[in-house]
Amino acid sequence: MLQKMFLKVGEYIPEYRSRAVVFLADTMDEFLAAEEILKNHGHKFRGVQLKSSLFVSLPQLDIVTAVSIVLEDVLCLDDIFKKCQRKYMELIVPYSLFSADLLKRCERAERVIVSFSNEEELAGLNEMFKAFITWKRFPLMLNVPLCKIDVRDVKHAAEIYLRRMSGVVKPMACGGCLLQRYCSFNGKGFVPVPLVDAEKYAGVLTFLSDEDSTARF
Amino acid sequence: MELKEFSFGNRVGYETNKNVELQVLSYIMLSRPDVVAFSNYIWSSEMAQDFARAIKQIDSRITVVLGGVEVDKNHLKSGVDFVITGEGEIALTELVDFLQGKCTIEDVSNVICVREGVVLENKKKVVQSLDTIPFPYRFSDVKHFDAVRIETSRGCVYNCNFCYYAQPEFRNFSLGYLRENLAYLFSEFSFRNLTFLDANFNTNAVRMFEILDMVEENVKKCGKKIEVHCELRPELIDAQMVGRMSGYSFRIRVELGFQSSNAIVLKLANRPTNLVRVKEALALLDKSSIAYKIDLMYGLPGDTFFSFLQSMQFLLRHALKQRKVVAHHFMVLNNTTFGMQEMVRFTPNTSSMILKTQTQDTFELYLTKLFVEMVNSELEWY
Repeated sequence: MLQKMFLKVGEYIPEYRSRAVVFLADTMDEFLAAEEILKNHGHKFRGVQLKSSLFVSLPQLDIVTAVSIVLEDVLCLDDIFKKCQRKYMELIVPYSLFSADLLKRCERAERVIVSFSNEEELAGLNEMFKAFITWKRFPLMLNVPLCKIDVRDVKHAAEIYLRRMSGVVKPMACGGCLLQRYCSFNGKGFVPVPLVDAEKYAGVLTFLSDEDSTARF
Repeated sequence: MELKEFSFGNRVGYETNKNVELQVLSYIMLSRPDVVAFSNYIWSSEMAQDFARAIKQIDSRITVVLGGVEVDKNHLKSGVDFVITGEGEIALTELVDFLQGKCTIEDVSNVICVREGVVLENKKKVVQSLDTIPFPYRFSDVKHFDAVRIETSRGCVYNCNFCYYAQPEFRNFSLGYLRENLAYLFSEFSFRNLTFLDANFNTNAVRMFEILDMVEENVKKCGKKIEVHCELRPELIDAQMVGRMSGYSFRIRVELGFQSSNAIVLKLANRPTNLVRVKEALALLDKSSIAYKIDLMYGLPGDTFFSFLQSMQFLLRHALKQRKVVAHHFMVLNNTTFGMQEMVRFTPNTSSMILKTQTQDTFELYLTKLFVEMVNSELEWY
């Protein structure tokens, strides 16, 4: 399988040894537990995802080969780059911190993903796409309910193939939505409108039903 | 008659000082040829047309001919005297006869020109016996190559709408011709790579192995260490074929045209594909010593971002040895079925990239390219 999977330490089973993994670590203890597992992990791609404040406080990462960092402020960027030398790097940037200049600074990162927190931020999408094109990057987005963007449109489709978000409790308002299980919406910041037109979303649904891994691309 | 062949070579970017142009034009100016002919393909056509104009400015007496799969009557522009469509071997010889006053223009096959203000489009002629074509390396002064390339057939038994290969019809060089010329190639030249240019080398497996056996014989006789490169139709690959190909003393690298796994896209492209057979072929190749490359094409009619993602998934799951996604932007080629349809391309009358289709816009096509690059950069870490 040439795709990485995201998981918590408790979800790891021996069958995953030969796969590219990224452990979600919210605390130092979780990171240490992930690092312990990664010591015996069989795949070359041994990743962790954590907040930037936790990341900069960590000692040198020897076992970890890939990091996914949720950026909390831009001041720590240089520290992050320094620590990520010779490692795969993915940056998750809140829309409030995003700018074309920031994207330029993040040249070293393999992926930059912009995370959204409310409906108003979507007004800036076009400018964001322009910045991504300027720096020859594919625009990746996170935390936008799929009903708020046209997921049939490639530029709005990013998070649908990013990964399946497990354990997200859906609000009642999402009931009946065809894309509910593929959507990262956590009930905050947006008013969802269930997508029910199966014909309209046939292409997306065909793609999603064709793959059944816990990761996509 | 004196012949001189030039190649534009690999040129990257826009060259302000126009060194290649000045070199070629200076040579033409000094040698004052009667005829300058250009073979046109996607990367050279626009440059050839610029040259045609420039040559006429240097010496209006020079006859300029454009040929190749790319050209048609739309290329009869300023500076171009004759356009040769289809195969050039017969036509160019006949055209030179005409220019020497040995026949009339009506006797020249495959040629398009303007006579008394009227566009004259002559009869088409196909080289029926490929063995009548002299082996190109017999005329080469250079004896050392990284790669030598040889045709064992022309045409293609398939007829994909984006491709020109099938035209005008499928024909083979005789095994005798190949035996004689392969022996010549091995005895007279040094090279590391032998590339068979056929569209689908495994169309006839028995014949393919007869040719590969000839290569083996020559490799052993001359003690050369080479790699053989060929294009195969994946559905025609089976265990026996992989087993036998793996048994040669030379390394084989194959290219597999795939383009898409989407039924609608493949139907519109007139490219019926048996996905089960493709999977089986990839599984066999993955277990063998044969190196392979399997390609996708994005921007084909009927394709969408999601259907392309499915094609990518197909390769990521089944082309395990490749470990990256090779995807090309669909180029609309002149004189292909798609080329003759209304398609929005970058340069209207020249083979060039598709700009948008009924299902995808320009931005989406660019994002597809960026997406492939992003996935490939990640796969480097795997």
